[in-house]
Amino acid sequence: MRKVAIVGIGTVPWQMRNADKTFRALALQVAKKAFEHARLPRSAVDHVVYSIYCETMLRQQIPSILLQDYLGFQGLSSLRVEAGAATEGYALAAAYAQVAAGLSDITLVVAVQKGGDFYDFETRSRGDGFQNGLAISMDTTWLQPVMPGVPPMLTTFCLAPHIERYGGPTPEQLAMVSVKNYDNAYRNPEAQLHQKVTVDDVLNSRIIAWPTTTRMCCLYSDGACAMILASEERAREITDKPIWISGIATSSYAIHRAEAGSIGRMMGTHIAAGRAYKMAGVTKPSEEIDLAQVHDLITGTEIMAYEELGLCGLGEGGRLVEEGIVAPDGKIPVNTDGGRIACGHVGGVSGAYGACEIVRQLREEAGDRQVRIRNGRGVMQCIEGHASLSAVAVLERG
Amino acid sequence: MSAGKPQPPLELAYSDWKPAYLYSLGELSPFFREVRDNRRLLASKCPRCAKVWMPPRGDCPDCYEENEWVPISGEGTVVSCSYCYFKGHGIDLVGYLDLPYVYALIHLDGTDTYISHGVKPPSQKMGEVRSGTRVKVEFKDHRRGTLGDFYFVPLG
Repeated sequence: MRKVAIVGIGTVPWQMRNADKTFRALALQVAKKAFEHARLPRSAVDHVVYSIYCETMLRQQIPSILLQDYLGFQGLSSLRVEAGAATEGYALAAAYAQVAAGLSDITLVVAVQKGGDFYDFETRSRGDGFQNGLAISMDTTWLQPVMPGVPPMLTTFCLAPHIERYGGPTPEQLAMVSVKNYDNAYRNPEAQLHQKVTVDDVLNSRIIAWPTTTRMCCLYSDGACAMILASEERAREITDKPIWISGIATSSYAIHRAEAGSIGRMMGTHIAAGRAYKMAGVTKPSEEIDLAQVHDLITGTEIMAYEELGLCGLGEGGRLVEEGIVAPDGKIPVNTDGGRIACGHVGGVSGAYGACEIVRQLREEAGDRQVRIRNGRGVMQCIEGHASLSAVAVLERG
Repeated sequence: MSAGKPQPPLELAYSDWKPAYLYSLGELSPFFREVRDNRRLLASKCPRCAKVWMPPRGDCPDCYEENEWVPISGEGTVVSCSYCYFKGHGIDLVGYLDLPYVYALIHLDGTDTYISHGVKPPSQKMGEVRSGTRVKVEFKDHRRGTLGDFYFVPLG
């Protein structure tokens, strides 16, 4: 297999709703930025991967046909990937495979999703519209009729049993993750929120599903970003700062098949991380990883991700935030962009944005929020709604 | 296009894209028919490995054998739950379960996996339903053959 590097990224600010652009124009905007970042002509691309999670949100089925035309890729091959909110990781894996196998020299990954056009005309609420529209993406037979939403589901299946088994994280530790991510977003000009919150603010915000409060839940957004992947030979021609995908893996471990061994864990992440680390030659992640972008759909899943990614032992995740290890000046900063809690979230995009953030940090192009790079290695993790589908990628400079 | 002050984007209201279904419950029909007609829960058991699946499934994913239906009592134990103060789209048990909505994983007696469902708490006070709480199924008066035709209440 050939080595594969990310040689360019394109991002735009997160917004709760971007009514000024359709999904097509958003896609073109980020692709254009990625080409500018890589200093590459559009004609250099020979394959395109679309990371698009939900058609209902776009009010458009089979959107990749329209995008391939709108972006001017007549005659090129393309692939649309869909894996819930893990779509980004699966899309990156698909793009990696294409280049590693020698089927493509330069592949463009375009992640785009709008959710803000959903509307509930009875309650005059976009949030309600979003919930209603999203409901059909849950198991319509065994979950949707009784499940109140994704944060309650993750709390009941993952966080609550985890707390029961390991005695943590505590509500205060869960709130500290929010405070950290809000602070990080404050320094990210592309973040949706630029606010500061305290532990008390977070604990006193409305309870969604105890112990998860509103401020411990992700935002929902319109978003887009793009990445350009190149083979080793082309990557070295294009940039002197290639960021290699040294490990990448996906895993499906149905948490809704609830059993003693599956609840309270994110086994898919554990398994995918093991594979990705093996591929990258990482044996002690807590010592060899400089920074991580993880799936903070609720702050509980961020803390559990520390553990499943091997940044600490099981049950020790809360300590990492309490001791500042995951803070920007800590040993392993996590979600330096502000994460899904304060930067922005929509399935299909936020994990890709996380990969772009790691690229920025490893290239030392992160401006005010640049963290210290020691090993030159970061890890990206994303999960689908139930935490059943997981993707983990190890990115490396050098 | 005339010059002048910038106009906001034009927005169209759509609520017409509502596909309708006559949705077949297929191999799960015996379960939902039993719920609708007889107020009883069934689980599915693999004839080879004897694992009892709840929620039921037509086939055993471990053995690829067609499962058999077995009756269960409808009583069980909460293994995990959270008190939800968020009325998402999922709660269609209006009049039966309101907020706080206790969303729970329940280990039903005689089964080997957990079903997630709503539990009606004894009062508004948080924490009365917790892991270890014994519960039993209650059926709604009007049932049509969905998971929302029933819910759980603490025993005794």
